[in-house]
Amino acid sequence: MVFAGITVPDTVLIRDAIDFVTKRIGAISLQPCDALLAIWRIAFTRR
Amino acid sequence: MRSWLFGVLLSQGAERAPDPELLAVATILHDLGLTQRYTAESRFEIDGANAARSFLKGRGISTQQIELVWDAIALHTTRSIALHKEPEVAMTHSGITADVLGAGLDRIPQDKQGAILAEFPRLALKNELKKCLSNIARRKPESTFDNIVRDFGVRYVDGYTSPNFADVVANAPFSE
Repeated sequence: MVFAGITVPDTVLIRDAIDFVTKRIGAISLQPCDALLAIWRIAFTRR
Repeated sequence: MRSWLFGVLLSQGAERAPDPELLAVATILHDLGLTQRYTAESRFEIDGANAARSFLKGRGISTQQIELVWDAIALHTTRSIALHKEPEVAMTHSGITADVLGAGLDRIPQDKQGAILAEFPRLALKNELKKCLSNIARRKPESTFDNIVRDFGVRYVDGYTSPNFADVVANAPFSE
């Protein structure tokens, strides 16, 4: 995989970890860190 | 993502290179303890490390590797220890502190820094991190005795108090 021009390993584990923080955490209540978590999700989404 | 990529770049040419997959997983999962789903009773780094351990079990990596990720996340704010641990622990810390504090950015070319920040913008991270850590100090002050959240509590949370270790020693149940 390449992010920001940097080549990183492309493994199932890494893809699962990215998926985990971008999708499965998405259903949670957003307190106490709602804004941070929203930013976090966006940050994992490439422009 | 930024912390991961900064960690990757800082690892290049390191005397002891981290396992790239473990570095990736540790940096990607390092803030689970800040989320409502995974916040528990411990300091947020430990809550996150425990959540990451649960995520990793049954995914084909060894117990030793899982514990390395646990250490990397648990120690990611404790520079004075993390930098003396395994490369995965040290580089997880280094990638995160490059992202949050700018530490070590002088070792990353400007064009690469710019590419990372353009693809994964910070989006007011300073202010949001301040609010988030202050909320933790407000909600579970007992978990902030020996970590970075204490400083946010002292500065930003009305009525926040945390035990002073000098008092803890003085009040130990011994006569001398």
